[in-house]
Amino acid sequence: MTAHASPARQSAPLGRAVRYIGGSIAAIVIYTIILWLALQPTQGLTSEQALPNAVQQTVNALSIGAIYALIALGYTMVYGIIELINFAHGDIFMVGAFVSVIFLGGIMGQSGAVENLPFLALLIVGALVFTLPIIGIINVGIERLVYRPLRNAPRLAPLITAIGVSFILQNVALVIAGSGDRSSPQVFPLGWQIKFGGASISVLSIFIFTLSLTLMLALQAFVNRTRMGRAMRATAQDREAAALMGVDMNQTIALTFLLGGMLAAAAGVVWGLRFGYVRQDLGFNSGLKAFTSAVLGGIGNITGAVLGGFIIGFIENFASSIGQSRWSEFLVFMVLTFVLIFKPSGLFGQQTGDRA
Amino acid sequence: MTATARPAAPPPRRAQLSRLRDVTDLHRSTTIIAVMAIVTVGMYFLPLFPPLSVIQQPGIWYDSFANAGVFVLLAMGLNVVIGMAGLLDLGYAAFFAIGAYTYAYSNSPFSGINLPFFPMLVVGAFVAAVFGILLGAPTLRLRGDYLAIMTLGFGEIVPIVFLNLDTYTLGTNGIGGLYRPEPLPLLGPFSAISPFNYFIVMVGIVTITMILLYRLQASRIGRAWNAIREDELAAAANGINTVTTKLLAFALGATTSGLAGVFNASKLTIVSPDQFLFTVSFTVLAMVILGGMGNIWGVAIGAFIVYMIQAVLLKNINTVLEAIHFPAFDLGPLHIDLVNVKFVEFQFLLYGVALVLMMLLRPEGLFPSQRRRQELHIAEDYDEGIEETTDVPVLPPVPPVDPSVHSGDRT
Amino acid sequence: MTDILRAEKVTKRFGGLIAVNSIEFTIPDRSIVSLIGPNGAGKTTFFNIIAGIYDPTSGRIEFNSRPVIARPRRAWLEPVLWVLPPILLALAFFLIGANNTTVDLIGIVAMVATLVLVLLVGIVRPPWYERVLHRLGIFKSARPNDMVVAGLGRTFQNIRLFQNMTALENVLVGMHSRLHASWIDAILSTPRNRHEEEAARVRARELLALVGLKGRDELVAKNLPYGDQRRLEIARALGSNPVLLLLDEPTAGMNPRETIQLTNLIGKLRTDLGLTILLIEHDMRVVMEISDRVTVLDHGEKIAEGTPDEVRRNPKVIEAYLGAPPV
Repeated sequence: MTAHASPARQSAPLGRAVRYIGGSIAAIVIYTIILWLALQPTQGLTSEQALPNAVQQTVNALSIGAIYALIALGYTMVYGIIELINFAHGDIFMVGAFVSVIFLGGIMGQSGAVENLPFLALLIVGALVFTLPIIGIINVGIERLVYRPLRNAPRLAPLITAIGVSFILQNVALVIAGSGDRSSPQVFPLGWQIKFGGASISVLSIFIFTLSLTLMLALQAFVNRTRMGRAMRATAQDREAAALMGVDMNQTIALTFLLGGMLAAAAGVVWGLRFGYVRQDLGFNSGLKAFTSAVLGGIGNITGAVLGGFIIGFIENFASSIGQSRWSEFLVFMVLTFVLIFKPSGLFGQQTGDRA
Repeated sequence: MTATARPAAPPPRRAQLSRLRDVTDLHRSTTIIAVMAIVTVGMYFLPLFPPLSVIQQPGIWYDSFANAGVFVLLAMGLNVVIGMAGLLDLGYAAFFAIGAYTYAYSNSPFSGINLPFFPMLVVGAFVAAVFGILLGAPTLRLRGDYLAIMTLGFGEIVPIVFLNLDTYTLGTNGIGGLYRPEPLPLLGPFSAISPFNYFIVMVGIVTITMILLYRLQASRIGRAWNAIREDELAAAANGINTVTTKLLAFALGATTSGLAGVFNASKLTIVSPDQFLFTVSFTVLAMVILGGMGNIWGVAIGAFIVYMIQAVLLKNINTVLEAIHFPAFDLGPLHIDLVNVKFVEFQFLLYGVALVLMMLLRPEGLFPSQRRRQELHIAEDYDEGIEETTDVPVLPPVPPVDPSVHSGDRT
Repeated sequence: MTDILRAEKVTKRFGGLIAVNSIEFTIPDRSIVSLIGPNGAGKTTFFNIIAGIYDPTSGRIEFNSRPVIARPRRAWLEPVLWVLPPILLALAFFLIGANNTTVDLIGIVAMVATLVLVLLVGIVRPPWYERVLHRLGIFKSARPNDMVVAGLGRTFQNIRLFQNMTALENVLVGMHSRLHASWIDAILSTPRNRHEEEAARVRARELLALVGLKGRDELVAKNLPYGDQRRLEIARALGSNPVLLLLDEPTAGMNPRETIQLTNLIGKLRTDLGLTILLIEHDMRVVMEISDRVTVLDHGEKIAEGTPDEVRRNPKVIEAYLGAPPV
């Protein structure tokens, strides 16, 4: 996997960071404007009414994009390292959401929002500390039991197995928790809003965005600066060479699954806080979108997965903002089709070499 | 431009039949018909007697057989794509839906027309094939993993499109009141109460499909599919146009799905988007894997068995357990009373577990073709310390060569 | 004597690495040419360009006097060409704008039908379509299977047989492009199909006998001894009736006796079947024995060319292989 763009563009890290941040802000502003223009005809709003709406929706898009980005990271890392599309990854996210719901439900019952900030912080940290390791370990366990024996099998085998695992996870959740939505205590007060010139910006969304960004930066730092992270990158680029250099293959791959699982779990915790429900097919739907994000950004590329996640989040938000949420999956699929036809390596990926 | 003439091959001699190991088409086709005839007779008589007649009425058995046949068709079609050509198609239910809705548009009060059933079978197959081409054309240049995702996406959005375009498709409620096929000579009308006609028609469709699929497998195209599956680069280097060949796999694989869709629609008399969700694609995939990828008979039997387990065994097992007074027992701290466990809810869990176990232990399926067992167990040799050859520049990975022979310096 | 293949200034870069640098190369008809050079010289890359696996970065290759391989031009235009008719049709229906359900339905069906037709044309590529592409300046380099149809056959450095197919089936696959029964013939089991399959099997057996594998039809490829596998790969390549045969290290890993047998076979291919042969080889005895001409590559460039004796004495060649003499 790569954490940077192609080696031909090696500018100073600071310059690159500035460009990323500047570009992101520009993109966000442009999106808000597009939304503002689109909301007026489709929702019948005046130009003044549309603006705060647009701002609110943009913030929504950021939070949903962050969630997809977190999940997409898991897909991209696993693919980068063992060239497997882990179909079960979306369902790991779902299990994370469930576990978090169980934790919060166990502590808070079905009571509502927690206004007390220190206590809220404690709760959220508690949920994260509880959920992340559990899911991480489950993910590692799955790899050890199911994927590792198939590491040298023809490509089709682990792929099909992953689908099987996905179904197992979904149905275990079904059996344990029953079908239908299971509601989560919405401990984060939805009423906390920042008023900004007419628009009410949900603090929760900002929190989600910030938390996700922090986790992504932490991952970036880990992959780039630590010894284990370097091992992961080496294995992703050339598994045999890395093994010859003394990298422990099993450990590195297990670590990848651990980190990917924990990020998905974080996304699950955040989902419960934001949407207040979990359902066993959550993983399937979100998983497909998150995978599209990873492909869009260039599978195997960490920055790409993050970018892709946000792009897909924005697309989905756009669709639901203009009242066409039932077409959002279709739109995402169209995006996937176009990306795969015209640039299969994604936005940041490497050329996959010439054709057969 | 054609190759300039070199010493031409001697004129074809008379077929040296005695040296042919391949079974001739006549031999094979007669065998298929004979076996299917025996099976059909069995399927007709067995439900008339205990123990089958006790579990459910004969009429319901015939109904189950006809439904199983739908899945047999689906599995045989998916087998062409996955088993023969080696392309992972995860959205196979989409073609099933297309066949079904084609019938709905030609035989319902909603559309106001009523076309004869048997020609519609062909039309449905054709329309499904067209969509197979539509899906295949942009995606077949993609690597296997990406192809899987694209087909998955396609399988997702086709029901969504049918759901959302409700002016044309009546959305969630679907199109109902579909007309049943015209009455058969000698056997009378098709009906829900007496599904025997459906059963017989399905047997006919399955038999013919099998014969045709076996011919395909033994033909030049079947060899090309095998070649692509084994080593796509080598296949291309031997003159196989991989794009058109794969496209043909997609299209022909889709045709049986179209057939199944038309049949199913005419039997259920209603089509709606929720009949075609990913669970269907997954079930058919499980059937192909369990039955034995690449083996037409294997896949058919696998599909039949899986369907029967799901439709009959799981549904009725509680009654049977209760009837024989199966005792509840304790497993450590857990008290397990199997009579009351709702097995039906577990079915997908069982499929998932079965699929995973299969891939780990016996990926060639329950009824593998010899060839496939050899292919899939190459992987085991790896673990015993035989090294893989490393890839040099950007050529796609090269299959393993016996490393005990030094293959010389690389360029 | 005409040249069966002519490569002009063929260059291939992989990112920053120049694998093949402006190579001029011809192969005279019915000759045996060897391509030699140290590791990493670019021999297999060049081979793969000729075989259609890589597109060259620049330069062109003519096969049988037809330009078949060069850098693709305006390749992006072709998909645009495909998407255009359905989009135009959609636009037309939109502008007509009747709110009639039937008209809408017809429109959708028409669009889908147009898309499918366009795709089919793009896939089947009838001659008039190729002319349209040519007029628009679109050039797509020949793919491997196009080169086979044009008369090229090749073997691989690391044997790429279809391991789980029998020897006979392997050769039958090699004959794929010369068999013309369609899938319709197959499923209907027409006489045309049956006769063609019969004749194909007869011919395949002949080819097996030609390379010395008579009677081994039903053996599975991966169970054949190494030397036989190499010969089977040649039989398979011969299946398409090529005029030019590319052999990538055909004697690698063989003992002296097998090497001699294979060398004789290669000579026979030229004399009896009239083939032209391009060889990559490391075994100098084979090269010296059988080649009409030898070309030497090093670091992607041609450093010498001539008869085997000329090349053997060329100081640049000696230096490339053995290094500069010690001072």
